[in-house]
Amino acid sequence: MSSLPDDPWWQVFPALETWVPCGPDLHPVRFQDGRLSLPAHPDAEGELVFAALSGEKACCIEVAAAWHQHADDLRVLALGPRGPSDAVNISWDDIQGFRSRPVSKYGRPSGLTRHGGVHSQPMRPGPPAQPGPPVRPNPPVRPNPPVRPNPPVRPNPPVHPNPPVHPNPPVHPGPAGSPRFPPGSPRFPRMFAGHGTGEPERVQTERLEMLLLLALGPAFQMLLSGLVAAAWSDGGARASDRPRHRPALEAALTGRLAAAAAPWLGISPDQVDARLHEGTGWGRLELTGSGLRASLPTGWLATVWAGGLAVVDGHLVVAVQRAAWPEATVPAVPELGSGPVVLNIRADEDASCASDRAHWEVTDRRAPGAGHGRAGPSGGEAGRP
Amino acid sequence: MDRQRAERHLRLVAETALRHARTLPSDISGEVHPHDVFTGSVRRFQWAAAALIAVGAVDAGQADVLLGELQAALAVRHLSAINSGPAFQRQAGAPGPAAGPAAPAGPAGPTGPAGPTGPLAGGPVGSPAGGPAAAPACGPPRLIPIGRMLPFLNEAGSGELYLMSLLVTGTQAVIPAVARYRPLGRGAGIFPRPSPLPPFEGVSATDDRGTSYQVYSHGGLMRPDWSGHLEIRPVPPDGARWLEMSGAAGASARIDLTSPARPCEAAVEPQAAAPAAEKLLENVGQHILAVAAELPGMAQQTAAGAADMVAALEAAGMLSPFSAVPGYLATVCERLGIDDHRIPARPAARLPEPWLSVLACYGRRHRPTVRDGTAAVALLLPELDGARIALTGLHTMRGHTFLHVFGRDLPQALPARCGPAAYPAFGWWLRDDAGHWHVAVQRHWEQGFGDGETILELRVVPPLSHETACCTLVVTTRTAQAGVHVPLAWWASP
Repeated sequence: MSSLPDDPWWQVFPALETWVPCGPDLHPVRFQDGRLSLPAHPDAEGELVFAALSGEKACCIEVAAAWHQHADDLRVLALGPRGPSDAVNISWDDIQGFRSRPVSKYGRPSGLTRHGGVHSQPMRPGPPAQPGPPVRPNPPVRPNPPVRPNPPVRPNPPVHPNPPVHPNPPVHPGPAGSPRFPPGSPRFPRMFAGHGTGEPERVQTERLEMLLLLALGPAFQMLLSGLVAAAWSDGGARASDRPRHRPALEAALTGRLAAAAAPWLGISPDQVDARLHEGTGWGRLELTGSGLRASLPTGWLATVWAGGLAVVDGHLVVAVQRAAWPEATVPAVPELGSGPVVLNIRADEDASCASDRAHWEVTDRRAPGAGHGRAGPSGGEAGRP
Repeated sequence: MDRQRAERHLRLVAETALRHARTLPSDISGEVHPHDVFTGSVRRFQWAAAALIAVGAVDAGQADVLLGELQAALAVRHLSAINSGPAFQRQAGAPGPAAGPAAPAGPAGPTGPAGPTGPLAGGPVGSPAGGPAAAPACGPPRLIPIGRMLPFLNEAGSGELYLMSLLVTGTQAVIPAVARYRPLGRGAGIFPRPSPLPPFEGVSATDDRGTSYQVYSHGGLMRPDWSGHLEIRPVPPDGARWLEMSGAAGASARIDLTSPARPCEAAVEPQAAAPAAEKLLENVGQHILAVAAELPGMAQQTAAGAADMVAALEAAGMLSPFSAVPGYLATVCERLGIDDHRIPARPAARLPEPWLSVLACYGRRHRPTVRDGTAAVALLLPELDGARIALTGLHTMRGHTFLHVFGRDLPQALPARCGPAAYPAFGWWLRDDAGHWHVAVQRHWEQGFGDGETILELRVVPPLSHETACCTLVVTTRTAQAGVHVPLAWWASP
C-alpha cells in the first residue's frame, strides 16, 4: 500500500493565508493546491536573482526560499508542534530580535534585512470558504497588546482569485502561560542561538530560516510538518533515504502520536511508543503492559496528524482514504481491540475559524471494507493484550 | 551494535524531555525557571547521551546535535534551560573511546571546544592564561620523587608548600603540590582572602648549570589550602643533575634529577572483557559511593542519572537485562538512603567486597578522625590498555584524601567534566594495610597538558590516615587489572 492516499496529502488542508511584514508593508503568504505563493511578489524568482546580486532580500522572499529549503528537513519535525495544544509562538518581534543580535565574528549573514518598526504577527481568519467570486482576505492585525476587538483595517492587497481561506488564528501576545518577551529582549535570541555568537554564517542563516517558518503561525507550522513528512513518505522525494533516518522519523511519530493517543486512551504520553510501518496495511496498534505500541507509516504524519485528523469524535484515525477539503474519508479505530471503521468526516469551518485547530466531525460511519471504492489503506491490527 | 537503536532512544528521551518541560509550572509572570527546565529535561537527556557515548553507541558530535535540537525546541516554546551549549565533544587531541579487543567500536572523537554542562564533576584545576598549547608527547615520562616542604611568602600570605614529585614528560615538567596558608595572627581560622595573583609567584627554580626556570602554578585555592601543580619552564634538560626550588627567606629544596622512579613491576592480569556498559555503570556506582557523604545532593543526582543511563543502555541493546550491575547500583542507593533513584532493578543480594567495605564505613556511627599528611608517592604503573599511568602524590587534608595521577593515552570517551562517563574503562580502588577498601574517583583534572596527557586528582573515600603505612592500588580496565603496592611515606603535615 502507499503511505499516502491517491489524493495529494495536502487535500486535507484548506487554502491558508497569513501575513508577513515585508519592508514597510504587510504581505500575504498563501498555500493553495499544494503550492506556496506570494501574491505581492508576482516575480518571486526574479527577486531571488536580484537578492543574490544585491544582498537585499524581501522578507516574503526569504520566507518562500526557506519554505522550499526546509521542505524535507527533519529538523522541522524536531522543532515544530507536536499537536494543536503545543504552542510554538514565534512573533515577528522575535525575528527582529534575532536579526539584531550581535554580529558574530563571521559577520552578519548576507542577504538579511532589518525591519524597521514592524512589530506585528498578522494572522487573522479570512472569510469562510466561498466558491465563486474572489474573496478579499481579511486585513492584517497588529498583534501587539492590547488586542483590540475591532482591529484597524488596512487597505486590501491586490485582489487575486481567492481560494477558500482557512483561518490562521491570531497568536495572542502575552497571555499567562504563554510568556512573551518584549521587542529587543536579548533573551529570545540567546535562547535560540544556543551557543551565542561566533557561529558560522550558515548556522545563523538556517536558524533564521527556521524562525521565519515558525513565525508563519500554527496552521502553517502544521502544514510544513506535513510537507516534510510527505517528503519522507512513500513516493516522496526522500523516501529512499528513510531507512537511514528511522530514528528521527520514529521519534517524530512517537511524539505526535503520544500527544493524540494518550488522552484518547487515558494513558500517559510517556507510555506511547511508535515505530514506522513499512509494507501493506495501515499499521498496527497494540496496548501492552507498558502502554501503546503503534506501527504507523510516515504518511500518517502528513495526511492524518498534520491535517488535525488524529482523533475525530473518539476515533483514532489511522489513514486517509480520500480527502477534498472540507471532507474526507478515513479509516479510524473506535477503540483498541476492534478494527477500524470507515468514517466520512467534514471540517467544521466555523469552529475551525474560532479556534487554532482544524475541527472535524463525523458525518457518516460505515463498516470496515465498505470503502469508497478507491484504492486506499486497508488492513492492519488494533489489539489489546 | 545497533547504533540506530541508540539514536532512537536518545531522540525519544528528547521528546519526553520536551513534553515534560512544557508541563512545568510557571511563575507569576508565566515563565518557567530555567533551572527547572534543565533538571526536568535537559539533564536527563545528558545522562542518557553520556552513557551511549561512553559505550560507543552514539557519536559525541551527534549527541551534541540532538541536544542542540532539544534546546532549540525548548527555545521556540520560550522555555530556556541553563547550561546550554555543546556538552559532549572533547578537546582536540584527547584519545578516543576505549581500545582493546572488546572495546566498543566507537568512532574517533570529534573535535571542538568543551563548554560547561557536566552534571557531575567539579571544574578543572585550571590552565594558565597564555600557557603553551598542547604539544605532542615524546618519550616515556620521567618521575622523580621529591617529598620536600618549601616555605613561601607572597602578597596573599605565607605558608608551606609541599612538593610531592617531579614529572617530566618531554614537553612539560610539573610538580604536584599542595599548600597550606598560615593563619593571619594568632587567632585560629583567620586566613588570607583568595588572591587573584598566583599563590606562589615568589617561588623560583635553578639547576646545577645555573639555568633559571620560571615557575607557574596551576590549581585551585580552597580556602585556606591550595592544591594543584607547579609547572617548570622550560623543561629541565636530560643532563641536569639537580633542580633547586627557592621559596621565602632563602628557603630552598633541592631535587635530585638523577634518580627517577623505575616502573613498578606489578603484574597485569588479563581479565575477561567486561561489557562496556557494565564497566561504565560500575564507575557510576563508585562515584555515588565517593560523594554520598560529602555531597549528598550530587549523589542523588548521580543516582537519578544512573537510572537514565541504565534505561538508555538497555534500550540500545548495550546492557543485558540480566546484568547484575544495575542491582548493585540500586543496593548502593538504598544503603545510602537514596530512595527515589528510579533505577529499574531490584537491589542485589550481594555486593562486591570493595563496595561493601566502603558502605560499611558509611554505616559506622563513629568514624575515626583522620590525620592530615602528605605522602611522596611516585610510581610508574605498567601499561594498561595502552595507557601509561603515574602516581605522582597523595595527600590528606582536612579529612579528605586525594591521589594525584598522570595519565597518557587514557581511553577517554567524554570530557572529564562528565564525571564517571569520562573514563568509562577505568576503575580505581585502594586497599589499605588494615584490609579496608577505598574507592577513588576523579575530582579535578587538567587536559591539554600534552597530546593525550591528563593530570587527574582522584578523591579517595574513605580518606587515608597518616597511620596507613602502605596500600595496594588496584586499577581495573575492561580487559585487565593491575595491583600495585604503594608504600606511603608520610613526611609532612598536611
